[in-house]
Amino acid sequence: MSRGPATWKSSDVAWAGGRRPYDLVKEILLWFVVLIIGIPILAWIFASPDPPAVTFRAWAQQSPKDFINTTLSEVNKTSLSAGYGPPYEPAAGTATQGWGFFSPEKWFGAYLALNTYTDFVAKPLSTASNSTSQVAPALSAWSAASASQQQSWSKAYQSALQNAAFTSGAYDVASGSYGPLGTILSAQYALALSGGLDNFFDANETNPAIWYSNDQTWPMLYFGDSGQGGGGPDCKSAEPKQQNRISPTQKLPPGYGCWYYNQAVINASPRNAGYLAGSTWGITNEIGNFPGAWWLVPYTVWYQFGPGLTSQSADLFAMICTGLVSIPFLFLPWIPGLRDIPKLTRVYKLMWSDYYKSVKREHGPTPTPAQRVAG
Amino acid sequence: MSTTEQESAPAAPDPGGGPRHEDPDGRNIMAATRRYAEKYWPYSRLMPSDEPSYVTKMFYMWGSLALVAFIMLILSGCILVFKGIYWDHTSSWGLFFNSVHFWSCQVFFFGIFVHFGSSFFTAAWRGGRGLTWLFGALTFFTAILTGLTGYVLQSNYDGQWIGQQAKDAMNAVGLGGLLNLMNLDIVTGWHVVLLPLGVAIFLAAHMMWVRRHGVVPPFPPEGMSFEGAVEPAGPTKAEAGSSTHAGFEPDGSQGGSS
Repeated sequence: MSRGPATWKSSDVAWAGGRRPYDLVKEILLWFVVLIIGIPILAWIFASPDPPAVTFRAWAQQSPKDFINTTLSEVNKTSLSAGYGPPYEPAAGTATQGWGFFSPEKWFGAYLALNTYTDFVAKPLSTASNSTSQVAPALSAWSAASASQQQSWSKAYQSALQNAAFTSGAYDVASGSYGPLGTILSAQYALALSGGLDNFFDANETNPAIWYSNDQTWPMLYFGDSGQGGGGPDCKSAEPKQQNRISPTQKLPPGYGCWYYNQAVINASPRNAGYLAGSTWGITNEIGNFPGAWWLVPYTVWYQFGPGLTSQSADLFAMICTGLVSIPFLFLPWIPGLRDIPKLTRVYKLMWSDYYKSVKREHGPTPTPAQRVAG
Repeated sequence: MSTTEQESAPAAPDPGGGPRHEDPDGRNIMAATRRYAEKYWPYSRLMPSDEPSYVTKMFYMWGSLALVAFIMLILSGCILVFKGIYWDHTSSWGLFFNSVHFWSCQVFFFGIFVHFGSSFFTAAWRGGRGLTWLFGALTFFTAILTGLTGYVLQSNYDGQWIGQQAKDAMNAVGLGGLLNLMNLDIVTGWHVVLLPLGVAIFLAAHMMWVRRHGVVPPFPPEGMSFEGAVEPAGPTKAEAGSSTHAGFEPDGSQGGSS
C-alpha cells in the first residue's frame, strides 16, 4: 500500500528509524535459565507457607466451651450461619449485604440451602457410630418442641455452661431444665473429640448416595461461627487483643474472635498484626515472613477506611469499588485525560533517555522543524 | 478479459503444496482467515530477528519474565497434578514442588506489575495498541482469580481462612453459586483448568497483538516537528516480509483501536 506524505501525529505510530538485531528467543531462554535455577533455590531455602488445617477435634480439645456454645447456636439457630441469609437461607439475614433493592445476594436466593441444626448437628449425630441410645430421642424431642420451649432450654443450658467443669474430655454441667440439649451437646462434643465430626464432613454431606466429596462448605461455615453464643475463657482473654488487631475502631459482637479466629492471631507474624483479617489488608499478608498475595492491594485497600471498615455491606462495597476502578483501568487507552497521564508525568524521558540523548547528539539542542527522528 | 473472468481464473498450482484456489468469490472463510493472518502476522513480524533501535532498556524484558514465570507455573502445576492437592502436606518433594509453584506465582505477578508500570509510563497503547493493553489487563484479572483459587487449594489453614473469608465477597455480588470457594470440588476445576486456560488465552492474544503492532516508539522529542515526514508503508502483504518496517502501521489515532 502506498501513501503520500503525511504528518506524524503525537501518537507516534510509525517508526522509520533504524533497527537493531534482537533475539527474543535468547531473551526468553535467559529468563528461563534464571528462573529454572532461581525459583528452586527460593523453594528449597524458604519453602512455602503451610499452617496445618484446623479440625473440629482440635477445636473441642483446645476450646471446649467455645465449641459447645457455638454448637448450641447451631442447634437453636442463632449462629452467624443460621442468620446469614442468602445463599444459605431464603430470607435476608444479619449478614446479608446490600442497600435497599440493590442486594445481589438476595436476587439469587438460597441456592445452597442450609439448616444449621440438621446439617451441622442432627445428621452427624444420627450417623455417628458412637451415638448413644439417648441421642435419637433427644433429637426428636428438640425437633418436636415449640420455639419458645427451645429458647427456654437454650437459655438454661447457656447459663449452666458458664460454670461447667471440663476435665479430660468430659464436662459436668449443673442439672437444669434444658430438656434434650444436654444429651445433644455432649454427644456432639464427644463426636468432635473422637474425630468423628471431621470424618462426617469428609463424606458428601449434601447427598450421602454420592459418597465422593471434597465440599467443605458446611464445616467452614461451622468454624466461622466460632465464638457465637459466648465463647470459652480462652476467648475472653484473647478477645481484646483480637479485637484490637482486627480493627481498633470496629465494634465486634460479643464472643467474636474466639477459637477459630484466634488461630489467625496464633499464626500471625510480628510484622503482620492481624494476619489475614480484612481490615488489616487480609490476604495480602501471609504467615511468617512469606510474601502474601500483595497484588490484591487494589482490592483490599477498600477495607481500610469508611464503609469498607465499618459497614455491614463492606464486601459488597469493596467489590463494587474494585469493579468501578477496574473498568477505566481496562479501557484506559480510550479514555481522554487518563491516557495522557504518562505524557504529563514525563517518566518516559528517563525510560527512553538513551534515545533522547541520541537525538540531541544528532540534531543539537534546538532541532529545526521538519527534522525526522532517526533511530 | 472482464473483471469476472480475471477473478475466476484458477490460480497456478503452488509447488509447495499450498492452496490451489484464490478464493474467487471471497466467501471462503479459511482463505479470509489466512489473508488476515498473513496481513498482520507475517513470519517476519511474528518471529522478528530485530527490533527498533530504541529497544535497548531492561524494562522491555519484564513481560518476558512474566511469560516464563507462567510457564514455570504450568510446569510445576502439572507435576502437582500427578500427586494431588495434598501432596505438599505429606512429602518433602511435595512441599518442594508446591514451593516452586508458590515462588513462580510471586515472580509472575512481580513481572506483570513491572511490565504494567513500564507500559503505563511509556503510554504503550498509542498507535492502535489499545487491545494489547486490554488483553494484558484481562490476563492480570484472570490471574488474580487463579491466584485466589490457588490459595484456597492449599488445603491448610491459609486455605480454610481465605475460602471462609472470601466467600462473603463472592456471596455479596451473587457469585457464590458460580464459584463456591469453600468447595474444593469446584475450586480445583477452576484453578487447574478454567482460569489457567483464561490466562493462557488472554496472554496469547496479548502477545499476538504485541507482535502485530510492534514495540511502541518514544514520544517525539520536544521542539521537534514531523511535518512532511513520510510514514512508512502499511502492513501490506508485499511489504510485510520486510523487517525494516515490520510491526508499524500508519494510524493517526491517539487512543487505542485494534
